[in-house]
Amino acid sequence: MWQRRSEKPDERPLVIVAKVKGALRVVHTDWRARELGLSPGLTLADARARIPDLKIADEDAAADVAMLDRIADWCDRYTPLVGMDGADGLILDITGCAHLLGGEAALRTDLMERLMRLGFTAQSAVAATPDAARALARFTGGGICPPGADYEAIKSLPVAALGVEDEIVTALARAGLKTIHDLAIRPRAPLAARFGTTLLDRLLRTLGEIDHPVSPRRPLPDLAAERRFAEPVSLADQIAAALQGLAHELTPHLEERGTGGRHFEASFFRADGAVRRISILSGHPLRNAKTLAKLFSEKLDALTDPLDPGFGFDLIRLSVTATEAFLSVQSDFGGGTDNGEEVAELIDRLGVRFGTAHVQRLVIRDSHVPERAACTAPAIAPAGRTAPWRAQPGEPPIRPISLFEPPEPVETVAEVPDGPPIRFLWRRVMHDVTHAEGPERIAPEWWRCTKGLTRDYFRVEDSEGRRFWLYRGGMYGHDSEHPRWFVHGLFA
Amino acid sequence: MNNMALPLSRRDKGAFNPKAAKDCITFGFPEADRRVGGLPKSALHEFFPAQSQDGAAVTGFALALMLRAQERGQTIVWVRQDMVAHEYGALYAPGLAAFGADPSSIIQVRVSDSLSAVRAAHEALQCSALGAVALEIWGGPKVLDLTATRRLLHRATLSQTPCFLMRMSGEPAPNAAFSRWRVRAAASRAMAANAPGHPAFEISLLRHRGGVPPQRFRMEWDCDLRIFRETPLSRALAPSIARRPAAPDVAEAQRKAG
Repeated sequence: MWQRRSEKPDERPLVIVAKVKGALRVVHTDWRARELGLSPGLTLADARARIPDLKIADEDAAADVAMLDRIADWCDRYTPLVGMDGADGLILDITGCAHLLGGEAALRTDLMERLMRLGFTAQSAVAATPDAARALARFTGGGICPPGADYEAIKSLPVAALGVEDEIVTALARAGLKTIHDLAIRPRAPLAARFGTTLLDRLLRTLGEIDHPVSPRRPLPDLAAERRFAEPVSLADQIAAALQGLAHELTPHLEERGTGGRHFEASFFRADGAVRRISILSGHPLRNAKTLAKLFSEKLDALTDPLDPGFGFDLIRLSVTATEAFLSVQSDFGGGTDNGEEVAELIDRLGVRFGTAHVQRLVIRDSHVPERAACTAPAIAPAGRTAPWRAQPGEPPIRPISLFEPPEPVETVAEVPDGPPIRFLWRRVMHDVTHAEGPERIAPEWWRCTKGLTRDYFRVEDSEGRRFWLYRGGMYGHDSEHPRWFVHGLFA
Repeated sequence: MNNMALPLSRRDKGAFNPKAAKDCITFGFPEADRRVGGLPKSALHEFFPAQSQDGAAVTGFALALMLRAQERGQTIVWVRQDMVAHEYGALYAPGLAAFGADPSSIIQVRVSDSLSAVRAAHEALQCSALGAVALEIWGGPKVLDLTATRRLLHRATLSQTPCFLMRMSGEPAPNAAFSRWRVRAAASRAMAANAPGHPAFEISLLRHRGGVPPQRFRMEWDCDLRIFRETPLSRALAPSIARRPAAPDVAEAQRKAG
């Protein structure tokens, strides 16, 4: 179990209690309590009776899980394949990563040392399969299993090391099967028939006969480049220089593969265990190192919660999590293609600084209801199809250049039943209408909502020369005695 | 425009020389173009509403000039402060299309305060492939002072992109804008059956770096040809009997009912 060592050591044994089956029971014990004979499952009253001077803490499962998450985030520095193992363990797939830290032993020592410095007591083991490593870590003192010698190491472990439920362990004990070796030498089919397929599955996984890879917590990057610093860096210039260097390292690989990155992530690992990740989205496949470095520097500038190095970052990693095929378009004589790329880069920069949702394209949709006829879409997404707008030649615009959402109510004097407004009061100013055109009758889309008032729209101009788009919601007598009027938009 | 008529000092201070037509934004009718000359493309132009209700007129007039400046296929970046959308409504794509613009060529950047808006415009002016950059802000006199506008002007000159500043509230203050206009909605020429006509504006030139004196114009915008047309300043009088059109047809006068 994880247990954090506090600054001032308290010599009393510690137990963690929770309400189980109606009574407060001991759920976890520390090494002192274990030595004194306490074990999980004991009621608190019994435990207190045996040892009066006991330190008690309430179980906080959520906090435990959160802490494990943070440790898993931090373990990302060793390998991107980190999986959770129950509520108190982690499995790291270090295939191909061990050489970066000087071998498996060095990696394990580094990990244990850092965990100890952070205040955790842990056991770890390295083996050829995740389940074998798990069994070794939990049921032995840990250690590194030499390649090929897995079976030797695990054969004498009890069957509980397979990770099956207690009922199966008891059943196996009754049948006289105590160690993994006992199970391994028996024929497989009767085992499955008598004790269930889960047992067989676990056995085969532990023995390495079937492959059960670690399921990673976070999506795996396509490409990653990292830099470790013996002396943790905390100055903004150093961080910027590191990011630039990493961008230059990464982009040739993108070029080799003929792809460009759409989603980049920079991870900053602090020396004291915290991890901060900054990501960049690009509207088009990107593989220019300078543009990438510039986007990151803009993003770091625009962060609302600035990067806090604490005592310094000792590992900075730049990874590409989404790529797309890079189509090299030949530029034409007019230089038209270059313009498109420049504008796309501008959209990326603006999106990084102000948020991709705030940099928008204006799209016309095919709907006769005015507020549904237009919408905004993030400019970073590829431009979808926009419905064409057909205007009558020679006619003034029939739609306003700006629309109020929601429409603003006005007080109107108008001819009954469907005459244009004569006077209206809007935002405490009276407007006298001199010209009006309408009504343009727009009914709600009956296939979407059955209730909704038909609107009669009028294009009006007042005595000062200002043009408005008003509507009356509903018809006189038909929908209500006093239908309400609104101003929906303004014409230029 | 006759450059020789300007005083010597103005000439030395880099007075506006009528350059090639490609570098100027013209109105499209000879009277205004003769009196103002063309507006240079790599410069800042500032617009104010005459009254707070003229916000839509400012937007329309600036959009019209942007369409005159925009070449085929070029994108317009429109930086808009949220307060402006609150007061005057959000930009409406069908309305922009009806006005003569191509909504798919406009990229809107919504910002919450005037300082971010100026920063966004600054960023956008770095790109030389744009047709125009529009900056629509509410208030913020300090944000668009001489230094800030000088920096915007520098960027605009390097990238040859015009920048249109729409100051929706607040008073004109000295800054590096090339021309300053006060825009007001004007009564349009009525169409059949007393319908409102084409967008019409009454604009006053407040300041022009090239030495053009302040003057007023009244013009209307043709959405199909994307060109300004002159309308007389005084109220339209009834035409003389000889030219008065025949009584409109009764069928035409009936209001269009859906």
